[in-house]
Amino acid sequence: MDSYSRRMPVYLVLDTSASMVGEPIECVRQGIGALLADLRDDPQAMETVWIGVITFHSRAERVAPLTSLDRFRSPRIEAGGQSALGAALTLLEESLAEDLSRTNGGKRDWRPHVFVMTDGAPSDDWQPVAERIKTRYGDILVACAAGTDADHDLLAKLSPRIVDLSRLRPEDLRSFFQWVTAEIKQGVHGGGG
Amino acid sequence: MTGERGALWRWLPPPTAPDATPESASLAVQGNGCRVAAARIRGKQHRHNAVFCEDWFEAAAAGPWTIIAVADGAGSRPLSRVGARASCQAAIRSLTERLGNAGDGALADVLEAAARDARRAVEAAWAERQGDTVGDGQRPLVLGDFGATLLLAAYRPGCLGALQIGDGAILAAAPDDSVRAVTVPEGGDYAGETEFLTDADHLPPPVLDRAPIRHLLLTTDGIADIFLPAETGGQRLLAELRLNGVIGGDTAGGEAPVTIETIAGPEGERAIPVRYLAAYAEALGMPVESLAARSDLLNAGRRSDSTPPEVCLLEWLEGFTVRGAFDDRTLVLLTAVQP
Repeated sequence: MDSYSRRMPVYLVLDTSASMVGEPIECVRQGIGALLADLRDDPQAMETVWIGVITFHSRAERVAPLTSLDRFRSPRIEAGGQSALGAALTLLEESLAEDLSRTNGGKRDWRPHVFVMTDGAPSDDWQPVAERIKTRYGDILVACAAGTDADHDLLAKLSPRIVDLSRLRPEDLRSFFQWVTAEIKQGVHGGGG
Repeated sequence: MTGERGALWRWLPPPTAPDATPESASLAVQGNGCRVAAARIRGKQHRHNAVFCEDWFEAAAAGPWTIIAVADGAGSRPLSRVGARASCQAAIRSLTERLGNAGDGALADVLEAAARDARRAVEAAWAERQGDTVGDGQRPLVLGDFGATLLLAAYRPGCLGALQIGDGAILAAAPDDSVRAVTVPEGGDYAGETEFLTDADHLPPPVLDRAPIRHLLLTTDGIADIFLPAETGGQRLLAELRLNGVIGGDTAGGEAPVTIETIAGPEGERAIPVRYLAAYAEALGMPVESLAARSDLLNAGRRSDSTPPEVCLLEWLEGFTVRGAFDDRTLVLLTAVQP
């Protein structure tokens, strides 16, 4: 029977602005592929993890709606333009509201995980929506400061947890996606009793 | 277990350690105008990760009362299995001593006292291990390392008392099979977020319920969370139990389709036949919720051998497969002979 008991929603919110053009965006694509391959070897992840991807450049796009791990297909991701973090968080807020079934909705999902990778120089207003997400869902965001221009003080307002990816080298991006995979697995394995 | 996902699950024994808990258990209790079938299993997640079963249950007769305790040790607490067992055993001892022939009016006080005695038993288990450390010797044990939920019920015909600390469910089915939640689970917005006996600085008030019941169910979140919300989910749960021989009936036709689930075990793979309400509803061309309310059709589809209910329950807990449901599972079913 293929109905679900509990899901662990995971959102990747990825900066695909001009700073990511070239090798960095290719590394992001490969990183998502490696993340999927690794999680698909884990039966607990296979039964619970749902993934959604939002990218942002001059605007935000839901390039992959929240989908179960076995049905998820890597989205097409291109880089260029500005860094509309506020638009991405607005889209995330909408997605959370649409996707999550909470206790009073009948089922109990695991707490969602949201990984926001950004160069830390947003081109739009993002703080009000970040506050709303925090108020409604708690500290579910993990921020990744990507590149030397990332403003850590600004990111600290987004999330108490900041991962520093100081350079956009392929090995740094690979490490980031390995870290995200480990975080998701820790969440999956830490649940249950 | 279905398809590719099932092949990924392994069965690994729990580590060698003091306070080891058995892989599974079942129990039958009869008398006092009711019969009890109880079972628990180590969940797929714990089998895969070589972790102990952290659920526990106890059930017994105490004078005219039938008493039940169920606990779910927290996955994140290293000695939660000890807390779960100690609290259940202490609660049953306390209820047995305090209930005796006590009148219904004393029931609430007795349940509260049993919960306090359960907490004291967990504190004693902690005290016995003073000097022990966790995390490869990095820190001393704290009481919270024994964290577990606790569900208590005392029943005699015409009177039910219950108390719940944490998540899981205590459900009652009326003679017309409508299901109600007896207690309110203490949980957060998300799965795995709950209160424990060791954490609570309060005791939720006991609930007294004098409405007639046909069935009483106490279950940990490994089953309860599959069947939310309680009212409609509880009726589906009862229907699944009826189809799989846990709840009896006048007739047993064996007409429901059978799915063979393959479960990893210590001696290799095991095939367990399971009758699913949804598959039976599909075969009959009717909505699941409608079928769940039709005891005549459920009896016609029911498992038709003479396996005892507690064994049927154990097999169902092992075989019943829902994606994302891999916790330890415990269910205690009380069926009133005299409602």
